[in-house]
Order: sequence, then C-alpha cells, then structure tokens
Amino acid sequence: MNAMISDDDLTRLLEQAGSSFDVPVEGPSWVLEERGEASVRPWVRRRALPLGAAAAAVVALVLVLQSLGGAGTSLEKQQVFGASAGVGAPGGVGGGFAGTAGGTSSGAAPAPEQQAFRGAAGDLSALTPASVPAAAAPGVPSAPRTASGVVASGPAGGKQPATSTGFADGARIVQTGSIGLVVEKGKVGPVALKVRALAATVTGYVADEKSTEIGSDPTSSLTLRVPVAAFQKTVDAVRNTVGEGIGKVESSTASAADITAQYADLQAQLQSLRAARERFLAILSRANTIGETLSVQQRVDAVQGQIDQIEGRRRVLEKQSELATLTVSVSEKPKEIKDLRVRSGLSQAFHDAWRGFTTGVESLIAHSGRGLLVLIVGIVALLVGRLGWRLARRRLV
Amino acid sequence: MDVESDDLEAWLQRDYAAAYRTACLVLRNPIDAQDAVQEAFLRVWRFRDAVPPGEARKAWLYRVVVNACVSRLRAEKSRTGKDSGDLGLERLPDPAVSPAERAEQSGLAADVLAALADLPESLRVPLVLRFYSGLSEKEIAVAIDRRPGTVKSRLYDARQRLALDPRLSAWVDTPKEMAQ
Repeated sequence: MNAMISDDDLTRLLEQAGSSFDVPVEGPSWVLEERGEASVRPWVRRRALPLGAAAAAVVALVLVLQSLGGAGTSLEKQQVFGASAGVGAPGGVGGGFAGTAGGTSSGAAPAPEQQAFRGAAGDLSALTPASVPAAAAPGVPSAPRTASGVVASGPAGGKQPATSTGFADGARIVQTGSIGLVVEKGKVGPVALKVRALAATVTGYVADEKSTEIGSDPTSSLTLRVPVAAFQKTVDAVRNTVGEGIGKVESSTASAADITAQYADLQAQLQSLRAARERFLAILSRANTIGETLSVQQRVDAVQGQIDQIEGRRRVLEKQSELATLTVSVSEKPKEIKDLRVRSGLSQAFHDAWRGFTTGVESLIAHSGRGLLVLIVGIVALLVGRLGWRLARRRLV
Repeated sequence: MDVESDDLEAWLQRDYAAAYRTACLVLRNPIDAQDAVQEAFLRVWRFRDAVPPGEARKAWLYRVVVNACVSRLRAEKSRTGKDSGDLGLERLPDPAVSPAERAEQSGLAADVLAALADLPESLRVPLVLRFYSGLSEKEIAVAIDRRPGTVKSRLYDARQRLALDPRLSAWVDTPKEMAQ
C-alpha cells in the first residue's frame, strides 16, 4: 500500500505555493471597469442552443415516425387497390392493374371500340363487324332510353342460327359468364394456354389476362370475347379442358341482359331523324334567300348531330350484343389439411403456446427494422440534445 | 438570487484573491490566471440571474473559474503544444518576507508547482480545488461537472502520484512508506 501525503501537508504545501503568487491589487477594479460592457444575455438567447437542438431532435423524430406510419398506410392502400383492381371486370372494360404480390398482367383491358384491334389471339379482322365503321362515334348522353331487363340466368343454351345477333328473332342479348377451374399442381399454365387457344378457334380473342404462375398459389384469369353464337360452344370447350387427372370445374355462372327494346328504340329514333333530315334538305333546295338558307341549314345541322349521337350508341349496343364475355379463372387445388386430429385440452394449449411464440418471434423480427430505426433516431436526438446542453452550459459558465 | 452591483463588489473583495491563486496553481502562469479570473467574474456578472443562492454559489464560481482556466489551457496547448505554465513564471518577491524565508518559500513553491505541473489537468484541478480552495468533493463535482465518485478517484490518483514525487518528500513531515 502506498503512503499518502496527509491532508494537512497537502493543504500547507498548496497554500504556500499559492501564496507565492502576489494578487494584483488592481484586479477587482479591472473587473468592475469591464462590468459595464458586459451585457446580460436574454434568457431566450442563452437557451437558444439547447432549445434549438431539442426542437430539431423532436422534429426529426416526429418526421421519421410520420414517414414510417405514412409509408405503411400508403403500402396498405396500394395493396388494397391492387387487389380490387386485379379482379377483371366481366365486361372487359375495367381492371388491368397488375397486383403487387407478384401478379402479372397482359395489359389493360381495351375499351370496346379498341377491342377489335387488341386481341391476344385469333383472327381479329374476322371479328370486326362489317357494319361498324372505322371511326368511333361520340357518346349519347341526351338520347332517350328504355329500360333493359335481365331475362335469363344460367347457360343460354339451345341451337342458335348464326346471325349477327346470334338469335333467329333478331333479339339483342348481352351475354356474360364465368367459369372457375381448379386444376392439379403445375397445371395452371397449360390449362390457361388451352383456354387462350380456344378463343382463337371460335374467332374470339383474349380481352384481358392476369396470371401469377410463380409462388405457392399460382392463378390465371382470362377474359374471353367470343361471338354470341359461339358462347355455349366456348363454355363447353372450356369445361372440357379439365378432364380426368387435370382438374374440375369448381363454379360456373352465366347471365344475359336483353337490350332488344333499347336497340329498337334507337333504330326508330334514327329512322325518324333521318326522315326529318331529308325533309329539311328538300326545303333547303327550295330556299331563295340567304336568310332562308341559313335558317334551314341550322336545322339540318342540329338533326345531323342527333343522328350521329344515336348512331354511336346503337353501334356500341350492337357490338356488345355481338360478342359475349366469358371470364375463366384457373387455380390450383388447395392443399389438403393433413392434421385434423382433435387435440386434447393440454395438447391444444401447448400447440397454441408454440404458435403464439412463433408468431411473436415473427412479429418481433418483422418490426425490428422499424424499431431499430426509431432507436437510432432516438439515440441521435439524445446525443444532439446533450451536446447542445453541454455547449450551452459551457457558454453559460 | 441575482448578483447586484454591490454584491459583485463584495464578492470580488472576498473571493478574488482565492480565485486568482487557484487559477495560478492550475495554470502556473500569473498573467493567464489574471485574464481567466477577470473573464470568470465578468461571466458571473453577465449571467448573474443564473447564479445559485447560498453555499452553491461558491462551487458555481469555481466552476466558472475552472472552465475559464481549462479553456485557456486547451487553447494554449493546441497553439503551442505546451501548457501555459511552461512559458515561465513571473512572480514578484514579497518584500515583507526575509531573504532566508523567501528562499525557502521559493524553493517549496517551485517544487510544489513542478510537482503540480507533472500532474495531468484532470488530476491537478480537483487537487487544487480540494486542498487549496477548500471545496468539498461534492462541490468539486459541481465545479468540474463530474460525479463525486470520479472526483474521489481522481483525488486518490493525484495524492498517490504526489506521494511518489521525490521533490515533495523534503517538504513533507509525514513519514513515507514505500509502495509495495
């Protein structure tokens, strides 16, 4: 053990060493002279540095937390949106967004006017009705309407003569249907290929396709547009694609909306307006003055505008009733649940405890990134605040 | 508790000498010590509304003085690589002391100052505050912004080093035991 110098010795030595320094007599007076120049720093300025550092740290923390929360919300929104948009509309005019969970899509569904130019398979030129002119018609917001009724539920069966409408009596029916196929593992891709080829054989085309062939749950959804006359044939052919050992039909729906009256109404309006236009043209030929000519010409132009609007709507209905829509979804058979044992109370409790543990660990790992970031930001904020406080205190004293 | 004009004068009258000599022992340079103490008292005046009341006032003052000294030490060291005390002491002899006593005092002070100079700043400051300025360990902790345990540990280290310094052995009455 080392011997220490006693407190008294140390005090004596330091006092004698200190007293060897002569105190300047004018020292206090110099301080008093300088005192007048020293101003009092306001409280806000003295505390400005630590307050600023603390405020910056808090703002940074809030921003990080907000960005974390905001990112999560937007991601959730994106996922919800993707899920809803991923469902193909039966009419082939909606959807088209790729899902966010690895889903793929063949592209947005074409508008009715564009469908004839965007078929994924088949002879598209054969599908374009001869009666439909190349130029698209404007909409018909002001045209008179009649109610259209749903007339059938179930397969629109029966042998139908091959007319432009598909029905012998000239009825205009908008047909839609859907088939859900469940296939064996690894058969989603081949069955989807077969369905796609079927559309070509009936001079139809694939209006929309969404496929996810990678992952634990591969699915494929195809929207076919086929001639009305070939609708039932197509349904049967799709059913036949899943034979023995491939899969089975899980669900099937079909519906039809009768637009005959609406179509006939538009045709009658067109006939009337065309007759009126002819009469105005006859009057125009007999006009003698410029005033008469201009007046009649205005009437002709107005009638012609109505004719164009109604004609456009008629063409849309015509096209809808010429091509039926069939949505085919293909998915793998779900895995069988092997463990169907009825557990005893204690076994179930252990099972639940283990599941709770693994779920908790998974949750902990999943949130560790965010927690780590918050921890880092917190530590940085603490260090900045502490540094600011020390600097302020050093300035203070 | 605010430091009013009269209070500052009284405070200077009472504490200037002790603060100045404390600064001299820390800095080992009278000129720097005078500047540091002047700066410290001006800071006291500038921040007079933050001066704590009662006994804590003394620790607060020494904290200001120590900080001023440490700032000068660090500035000097970064500028020249040496402590300000290495630049030389300019002390005037006290005419009231006889030449023999002066010689003895001068030799003692020189040895103590040399021993202090060999101590690092972190040990020298608490030692001076404890055994010259008379601050308690708690007050030193406030003055140097460290925990009391740290102060106690540093005081122990400083005393251990001084005990082993041969320059002080001649001035110490306590019989020394050698280190095991």
